[in-house]
Amino acid sequence: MTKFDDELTNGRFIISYCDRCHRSVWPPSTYCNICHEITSWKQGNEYGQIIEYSKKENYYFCLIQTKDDIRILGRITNSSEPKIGQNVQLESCSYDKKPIFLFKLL
Amino acid sequence: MRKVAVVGTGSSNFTKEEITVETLLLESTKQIFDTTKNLSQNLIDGVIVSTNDNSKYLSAILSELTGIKPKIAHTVEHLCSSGSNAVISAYSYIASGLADVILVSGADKINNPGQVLEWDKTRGEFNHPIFWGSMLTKSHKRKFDTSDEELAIVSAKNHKQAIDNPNAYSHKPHTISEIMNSKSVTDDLRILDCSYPCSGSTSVLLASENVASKFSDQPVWISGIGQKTNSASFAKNELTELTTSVIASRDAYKMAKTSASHIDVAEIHDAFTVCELMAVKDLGFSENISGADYVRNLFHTENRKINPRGGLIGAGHPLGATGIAQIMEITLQLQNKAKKRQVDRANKGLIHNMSAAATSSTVLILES
Repeated sequence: MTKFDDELTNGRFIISYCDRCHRSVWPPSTYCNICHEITSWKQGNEYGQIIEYSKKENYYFCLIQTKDDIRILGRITNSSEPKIGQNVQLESCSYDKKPIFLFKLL
Repeated sequence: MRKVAVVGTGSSNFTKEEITVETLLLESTKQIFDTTKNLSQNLIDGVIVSTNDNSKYLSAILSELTGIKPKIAHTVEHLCSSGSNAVISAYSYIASGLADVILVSGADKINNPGQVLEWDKTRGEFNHPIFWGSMLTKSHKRKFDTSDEELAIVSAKNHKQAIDNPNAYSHKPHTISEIMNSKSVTDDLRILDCSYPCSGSTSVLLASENVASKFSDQPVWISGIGQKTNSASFAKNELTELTTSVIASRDAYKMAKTSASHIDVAEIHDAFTVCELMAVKDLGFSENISGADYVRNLFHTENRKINPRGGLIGAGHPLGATGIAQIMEITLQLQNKAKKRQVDRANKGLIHNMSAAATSSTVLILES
């Protein structure tokens, strides 16, 4: 388990950030993949937009770009069909052998 | 650099049975010994194994099981394109003069761990390939108005072509209607849109220009190589272009001093039906028409130019063996030994092998 996973287990979404480049480093890593400076952890921005989506059984799964300029595959908790570019908010996150991100449509 | 040729090939049947990776590797390697003239263990300088299996030290194990005592022995792992990358490692040893003859053997068993990249946190809970396959398919539909029928034609073509591949894991034809009405995996993928993992092994023997004629009267030369890795995580990918495939093919064409219009036959990485539609465009085959129109025309004219052995969808996808099976097929095609699958006047062929939603791609060009 990494710190990222540990925090997710406790319902907190954090990302690594390079204070020198002023950018998110994603997926999370100890060092910035541009300047190789050690990264710090910061609270991930919970708002984003839908880039693409599909549906499995009775739920939608989406590729989401958050306001930290990172992309995540997450599950939509609403039953209505999403739209490309629609705003979403991270409703909850957790970790059960793999990260789980639940978003609600705004 | 010295020229390098494929001078021997061998393959197990691809099957849904659970078979150990050591047994699989041995089976395709034995075929190389059975069918390659003048080959003896002491002539092999290197044994490279391609696999995603968790078993360790497999090149030494395969060497011991076959009585080879190689100078070079190691494993190559690169998910679905492990096989083509293992062949490029062997090519490099031979081209540089470090070796003259190398055996490359690829295998995976049906439940291999290469299907899920646990490191990739960007995929969240959706770490199975069907989820990136769905994203690419939905985006292709959105951008190119691709219909479910156009996707199903890829599967119908490749299942049909696999009937004449004795090593394919399935020899059952499927109509377009059957494919479109097969079990839904997601809203954008039917089960017959997907390739499936299986147990299987394929091996090739590579030799330098100094010794190739000793082993084969029809050596097939590796004339072009292109490789590109953009990332490991899916979420950074373009959704409507196989960007790494574009770059890898450009480099391979340049090295071989050729272009897509001169390729007679190609094995393409159809992990999902949408991948073939994207690849025929991104590799330059369907320059003036859409990928869907290009594949539809192949299907209706029974032209086997693309994926004559049935591709991953028709033949099965034992990850570590797939790239090598593609190379074996193009070798047989260029030697005019592909029997019912034979493409007329095949002198130049292309292999397209990629990993993890095309976060990386490998392209090889072979010539007779």
